[in-house]
Amino acid sequence: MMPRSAVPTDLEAGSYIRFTVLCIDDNEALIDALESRLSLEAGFAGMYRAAPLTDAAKTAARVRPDVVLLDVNLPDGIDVIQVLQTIVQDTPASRVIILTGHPTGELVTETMGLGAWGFVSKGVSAERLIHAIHRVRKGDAVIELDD
Amino acid sequence: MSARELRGSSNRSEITSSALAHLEQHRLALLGSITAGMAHHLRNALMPALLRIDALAASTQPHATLNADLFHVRESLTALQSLATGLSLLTADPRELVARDTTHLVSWWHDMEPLIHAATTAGTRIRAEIAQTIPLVWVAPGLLAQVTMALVVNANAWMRASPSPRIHVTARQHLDGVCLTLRHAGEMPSHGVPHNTSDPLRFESPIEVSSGTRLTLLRELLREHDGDLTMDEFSPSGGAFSIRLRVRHETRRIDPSEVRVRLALSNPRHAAVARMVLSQSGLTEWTALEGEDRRSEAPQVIVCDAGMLASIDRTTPLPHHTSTPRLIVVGAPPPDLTRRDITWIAPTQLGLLSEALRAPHDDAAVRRAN
Repeated sequence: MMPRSAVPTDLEAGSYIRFTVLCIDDNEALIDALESRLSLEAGFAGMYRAAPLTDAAKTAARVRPDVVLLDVNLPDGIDVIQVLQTIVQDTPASRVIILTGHPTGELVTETMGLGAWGFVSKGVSAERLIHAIHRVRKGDAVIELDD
Repeated sequence: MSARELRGSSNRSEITSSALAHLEQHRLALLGSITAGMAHHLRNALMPALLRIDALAASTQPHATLNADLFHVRESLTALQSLATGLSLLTADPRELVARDTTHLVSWWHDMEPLIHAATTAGTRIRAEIAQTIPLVWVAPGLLAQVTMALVVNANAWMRASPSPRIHVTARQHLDGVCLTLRHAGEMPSHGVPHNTSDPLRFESPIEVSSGTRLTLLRELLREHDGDLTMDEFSPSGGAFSIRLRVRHETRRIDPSEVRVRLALSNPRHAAVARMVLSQSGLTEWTALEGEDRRSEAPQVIVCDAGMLASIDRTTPLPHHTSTPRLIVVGAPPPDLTRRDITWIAPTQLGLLSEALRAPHDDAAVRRAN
């Protein structure tokens, strides 16, 4: 029996295309919870983690996930814009969603202009984050700001 | 005490007073930084918790007690998330280009109410009447939060002597905008405060508690969003602050009835950002209408990709005609294109779209966008 989804997705009924997610974030609790929640979604085939975070772009190139969740505030002085540009250039099939707790208009225009497919504030509900992942998978560009 | 000792004491007192003022500023700055950090950390902690709750709710068999418990846990976490949003609003830099330039007053109040309770004296009654039908207002939620909090802090100071401190917030549609009113039971320390608030020269005055100086600054910030702030005093005590805000679709900067913008962006990422910028500017995307309307309503501005220009004349501008739509192109101009009647915007600078739309006939703005 397929797991019940807590959130109705906009994928067509019966569409179980496998998808993987790479989460580039130093918040392990978020990655674990996201994996737990995504495991209820039809087609979810696994969560990758970038370890070490300094090799995040290389990890993306190696595992080629369908969706990359990229936190804006990474430790050790990691240049997130550089990470985004490298993933967009080297792994163009992977669609990047920017995650941030401090959304600004400049950050939206810069990251989306550089090739991110989504921009999600950490202030939105869990439902909207899951929904954004599905929409980006489908090829929609998504901007989800605070309620 | 000798006169010399007295002078020394007086000097020390002055130095201490100055140092205390600096200390106070540093303390407030530190509190601001901590508040912003707290909001960030709260969000980082709450998102996993909410995801876990969703996963738990979806993975277990229906059970009335468990479902009720999960519902209440989710409610509590959502309230904390709302608190984190409120803290973010209070610490946002009003000069920063914000991602959201419009505010839905109902959800905004939901985030602000706990903070307003925290900022007022215990026992203050706070009541709000904001209808769901109130339209979006054209002001960044962070700016509105900071203005409102400053008003509440003033009102709270003025209500110290009040036997029944209370604040009543209402939002009403008024003419072509929305009026957000904060009625309070306080007595202004001076009848000059309302006048001071409207006096731009008060920028130069020392900032004192309840003097209205900070309100002057906030009023000017509101005016940048075509809003305004007025104050009224009631007898025998009590008063009201009225914040006038423009409705999103009726901004003065861009009149939607005059500027019809068609987005012809094949790149969905660029289209999403362009829609966000249009929304911030008080515009909605123009789409072709059927039947009669189609003939009379044509777009005045077309925003498109560089790829769509492949077949156009690269040297000769289109003859100027009122029905000729302006072209704003997202991308880099090809080297052989010399036409000067096209505005080019780099994909990473789509925020300039707002500026280009705001001053469609201003060559300087176009050059900057180029």
